[in-house]
Amino acid sequence: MMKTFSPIRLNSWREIAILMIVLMDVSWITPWFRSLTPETYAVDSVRILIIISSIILFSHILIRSMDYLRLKKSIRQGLMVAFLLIGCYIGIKTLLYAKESISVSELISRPIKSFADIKYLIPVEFLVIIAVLVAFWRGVSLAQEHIGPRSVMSHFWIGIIMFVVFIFIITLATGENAGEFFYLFLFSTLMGVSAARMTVVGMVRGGTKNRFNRSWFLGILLTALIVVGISFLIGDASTYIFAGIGGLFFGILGSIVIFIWVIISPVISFLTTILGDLFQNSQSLQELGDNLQKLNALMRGLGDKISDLIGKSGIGNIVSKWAPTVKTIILLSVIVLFILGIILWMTIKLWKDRERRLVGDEEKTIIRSGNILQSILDILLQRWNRTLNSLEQLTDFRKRQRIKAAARIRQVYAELMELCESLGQPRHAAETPLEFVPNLERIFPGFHIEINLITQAYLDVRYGLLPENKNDLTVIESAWTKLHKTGAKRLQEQKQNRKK
Amino acid sequence: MLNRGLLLIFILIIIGVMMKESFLITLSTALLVTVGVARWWQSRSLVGVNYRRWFHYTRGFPGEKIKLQLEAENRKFLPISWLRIQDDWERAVGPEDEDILAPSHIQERGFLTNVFSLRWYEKARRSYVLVLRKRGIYSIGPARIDTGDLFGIFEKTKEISQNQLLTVFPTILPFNKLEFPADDPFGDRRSRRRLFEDPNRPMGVREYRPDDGFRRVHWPATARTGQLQVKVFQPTTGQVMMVCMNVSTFARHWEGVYPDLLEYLIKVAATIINEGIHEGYKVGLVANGCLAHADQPFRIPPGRSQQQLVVLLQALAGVTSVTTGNFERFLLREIPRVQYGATLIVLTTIITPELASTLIQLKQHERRITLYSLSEDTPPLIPGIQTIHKPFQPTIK
Repeated sequence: MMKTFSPIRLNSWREIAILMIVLMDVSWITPWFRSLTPETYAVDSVRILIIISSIILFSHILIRSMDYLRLKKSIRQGLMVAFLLIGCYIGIKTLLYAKESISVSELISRPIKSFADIKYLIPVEFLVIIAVLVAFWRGVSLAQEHIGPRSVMSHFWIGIIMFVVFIFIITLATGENAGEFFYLFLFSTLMGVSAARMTVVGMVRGGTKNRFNRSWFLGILLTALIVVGISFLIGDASTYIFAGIGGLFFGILGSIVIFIWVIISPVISFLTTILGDLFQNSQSLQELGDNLQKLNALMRGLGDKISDLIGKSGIGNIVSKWAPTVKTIILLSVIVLFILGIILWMTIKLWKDRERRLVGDEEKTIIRSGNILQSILDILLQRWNRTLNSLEQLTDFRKRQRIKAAARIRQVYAELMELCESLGQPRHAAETPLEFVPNLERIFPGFHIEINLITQAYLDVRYGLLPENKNDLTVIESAWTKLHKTGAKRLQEQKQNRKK
Repeated sequence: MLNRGLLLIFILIIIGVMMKESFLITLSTALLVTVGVARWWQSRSLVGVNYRRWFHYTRGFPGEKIKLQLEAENRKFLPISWLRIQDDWERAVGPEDEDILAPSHIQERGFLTNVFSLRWYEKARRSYVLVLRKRGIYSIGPARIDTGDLFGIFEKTKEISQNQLLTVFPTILPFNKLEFPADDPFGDRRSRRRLFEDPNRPMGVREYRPDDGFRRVHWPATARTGQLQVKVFQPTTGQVMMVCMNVSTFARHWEGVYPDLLEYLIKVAATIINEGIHEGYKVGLVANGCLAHADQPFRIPPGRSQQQLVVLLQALAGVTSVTTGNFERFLLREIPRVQYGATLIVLTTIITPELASTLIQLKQHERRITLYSLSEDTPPLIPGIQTIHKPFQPTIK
């Protein structure tokens, strides 16, 4: 029986890992989406979660099915556009106008009207469309991704960054909290990593693999729930503990400041009095004295507040009274710290690179110059250029087409090998494609040109060349069709002979 | 990566405390707990994990099949969701289905990979049928064990250098194929198990019988007793045969090795040894080749037991193409140690004038010698030496 290449082959652990990655992504997308405008905030979070995850999942299934069916490019494009339109329609209808009964025409005209209306800077329909597009893109990229623990961990770090940024922007501004989504995210991460690990472990060639076992799945699920539960309890409890520790720390720090002030203030007062007597008409000394008095009053106030903090009203009230000013200061400090952190990180990286001698020639010369600041700026510039290059590559459709053609050539060669195997003439693992050509010619006599075409095209692709145009691929496809037909006929004959 | 992550979590906790942002503290602490649990699990994952290989037999002939059972055990309360064991395996003694072995960077070797999920105190077994494909002594292992925490976030690896040996004996050919003379294949022989006496080892005296030779009379004992007494010698219970094998396949060592010819030579040696043991000979073996994992030529003293056959075949299984020196010199050094009266079977794939003169030299010391040549060229006529010439005919694949 001839084996066929199937990108849609199901592997339970892999499918679970994909499902969990979708859940991870949706866990941070949902609170972000909700917090964008009052209209989106009014939408039930569970509904957002279901709609966005459905779009990701369906787009993912669509891509895999299209690959499996090997549809033509034009059909693929048509299907994708249709899916996007349906996705946008369902998104707008279910997320914005779920309770209203509006017609399709109205549904189309409303976003256009909103766009035209000067009142709305960013119309909410537009946001929904963006969300649908992002969800669609996630589904498509997931279909092309190699599912493994590393890929799940990269989704995890993206999620964590998005949650932290959410806290700094949304929670600080509005007080909105994404607690339940974070725990969902944590749970899906644990499940996703374990499922991805099982997938990768089972992908190793040879030997005997573990089959999907429901009891193991349930065991991991239960353990993940327990770990998330413990994290929730400890996380919740630690909020108070750490807040207490923080309060105590600031209390002690304030006390030290007051203590120092208590010691030095009499000396300063004494000095100002003496100086005042000496220079009686000095305006500046007058002002200095006034300022010192104000500072004294401030310190007294601080002392009262610290005593309140430790004594009567507790730590929380004081911090909340001081919150607006302190928050601004802290926020600025955080930004400064963040920038300093990046500079520090890059300096460490530069140093390590230098030690390992793994830096490129360009960077070597930069480091040798000895100017760290200049080096950092240059590296940032390099990174920026690389990003631009990768963006260019992403939008270089011609190159992408050539890459796709190369992938097809590899697939054709793989299918040819499968055909040979089915005909009882497999290529030995140690045999190179060129060494296998005489065997191929024995299997398919009279197809010398076709065999050489496919082999040479495969070798070119294998060693980095890409097909120049569509015609190259068409020639290979037609050669493969001829060989495939002959091979299929042979297989049929073999079967009949066996029956006899 | 982990240290960087932990640092980030601690920074977030500090920021959370400073800003009194409870969700940030909760998030960081929850991450810390999760990472901590996974890390602890990973550190314990390899504790109490055992791996064993059970071979039904560890020796056999080419083409035979051996049952193999692999056993992985988790002797602790913590379950292991994934345990991957990669055994370094020789393809020559690989499983029946050759695709089971994953490719390795060494062409003749592969990896036998097994994935297990083990609950608390659980054992799991996997069975394979191995096919012995090629003569040799093969080392199985070391095994590499990969596992980690239940969620697969962290990995842990251990290598078990518990190597085991599998021996594939050389194939024994039908004896008649070697074309030894049918009536007396190995030289001077009259009966299957003839009783010899060694005149160098007297063990006592007895009364004279008419068939006793005059030279056996023990004169001092006769004088003492007043009656004719003869010497009684220790019996030697059989004939001795020493197989001398020249593993060189070319006259000059730098010309390389002809593997098929060497294999055939070893098969011939195994066949002669097997026949000799079955015919009641005490058989020994000397060769100028090295055994696998050794750098010295080997010499196995003659013996007749079934165990001797195993020892000899095992030695032949381990013979490599590496020669330790000139065969003629090797013969001159080794033969004086061989028991007097032993038949020497000299097996070689090349006949040189030096070898012919060496054999003549040995013959002068009253050795019975049979020269078995696989050389393409007809060997010269060496007086007093039985020569069998059967040139090697390679099989066309």
